Amino acid sequence: MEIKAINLKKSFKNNLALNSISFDIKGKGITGYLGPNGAGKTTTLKILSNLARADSGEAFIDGINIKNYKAALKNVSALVDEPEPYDEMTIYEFLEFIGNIRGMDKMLIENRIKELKKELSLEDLNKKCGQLSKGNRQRVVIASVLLPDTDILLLDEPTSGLDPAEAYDIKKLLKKLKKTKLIILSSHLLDEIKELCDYIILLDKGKIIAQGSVKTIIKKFGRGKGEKGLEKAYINLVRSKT
Amino acid sequence: MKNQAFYAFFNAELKMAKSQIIAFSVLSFVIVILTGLLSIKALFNSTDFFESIGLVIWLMIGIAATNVAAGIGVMDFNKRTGLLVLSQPVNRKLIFLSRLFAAFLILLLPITVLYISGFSMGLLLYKVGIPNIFLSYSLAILYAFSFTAMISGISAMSSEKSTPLSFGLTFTFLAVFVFAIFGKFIGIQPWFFLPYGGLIISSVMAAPYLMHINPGNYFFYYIPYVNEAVLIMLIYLLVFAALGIFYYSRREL
Repeated sequence: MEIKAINLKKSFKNNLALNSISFDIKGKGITGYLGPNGAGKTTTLKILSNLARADSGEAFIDGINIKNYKAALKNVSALVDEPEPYDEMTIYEFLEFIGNIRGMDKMLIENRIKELKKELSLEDLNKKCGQLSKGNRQRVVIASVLLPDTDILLLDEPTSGLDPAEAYDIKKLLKKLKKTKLIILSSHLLDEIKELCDYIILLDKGKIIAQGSVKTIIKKFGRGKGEKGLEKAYINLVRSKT
Repeated sequence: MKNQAFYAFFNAELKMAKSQIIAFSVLSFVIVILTGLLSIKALFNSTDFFESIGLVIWLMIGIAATNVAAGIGVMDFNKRTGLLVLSQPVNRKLIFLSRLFAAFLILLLPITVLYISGFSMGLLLYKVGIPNIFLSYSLAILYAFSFTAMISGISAMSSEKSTPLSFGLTFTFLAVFVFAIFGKFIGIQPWFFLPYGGLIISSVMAAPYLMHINPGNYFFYYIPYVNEAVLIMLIYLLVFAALGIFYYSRREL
């Protein structure tokens, strides 16, 4: 399992969103992808999941160039930028639809839906997605991302819109998943990052400003005026660049 | 996997359009009944009646195809559903084509209802069925496919569903004025205009009185020949389907 980015650049109407981003993430575990609003986190994940194209540079998933997205994304599932299920479909229909797109067989889809219903406490599967609350929709979205059971997960603020109890369940699930999967987790919540991640990539204004294990980042940048920790490291790094 | 993904999108499109299919089929039936009642009132002969039914079919195809196809190229880009669906390892061409084929199938029911009810109404009122019914039916299907491809192609280039929707409806309702301006006033056959090709649906129904030039008629001054009409429709079908695939495959979210 490997995700590699080499000098990724992306602009939107003269606004440089990514400025030569490079990283190489290998093996199991969660890598926190951290940065202020507009730092380029979502843009990177969009490029990795074929929702956007880099202006220059290359990205590889398990050695396959993302330009060949059908092959590269076979073992990847992505939750990027608050997606929504189809309002007209029931929860079951939507998950079945995703399973079919993925080429999963009927029995496997049924079994996975049963497992995920239990794991994510999904509502009545015959309820239309359009009738669900924000939190329940987010759980359906997470279920659809986990349904194919891919080895690589790209998760952009997966606990957004969830109440603390729901967020706790997702974090518990992520702790379980990190033992077998490579996960990139983009989040604003430093406690979440600290709790879940093994490695951190910190972004600001489209550039990587630091990367390393959580301990190293705290040790290196997280001190000052009697405070210490990841929050201090984040503030020091982001403020020092502005 | 390729086929399974194709059918997943195809079936999803059909499911989501279920209410539209029913609504257009019922509307088609009602319009044919109203045309029949109007024919009795206006003392139409059978040729006038079938010509009117043909024009009703031509108009209904424009309206129905616009509604069915307006979302094909844009729905996943202006709603957040695309963030999930388009990040799957599925060829975008396949997604676009599966939705386009579903739209073709969706239109078959209202068109068939129009022909069956038109045929029955003809028998009831004039004791004759629709002349050249199979030719006209085939041309109507081709016209529906071309119109659908055109709207879906425009949809793939638009940022909002309202753009292909308003384009298709304007195209349909203002068609007769384009015919009048280019035909009667300028003296040019509007061969570049898809609805002109679609006029053949009604024209073959008015057999044996097929006319290519209709000097007394402002709006339908020129009527295309069958091969001309087929060519116009095929060009629109192929060009817009290709444009739709091209833009849909390249769009970003």
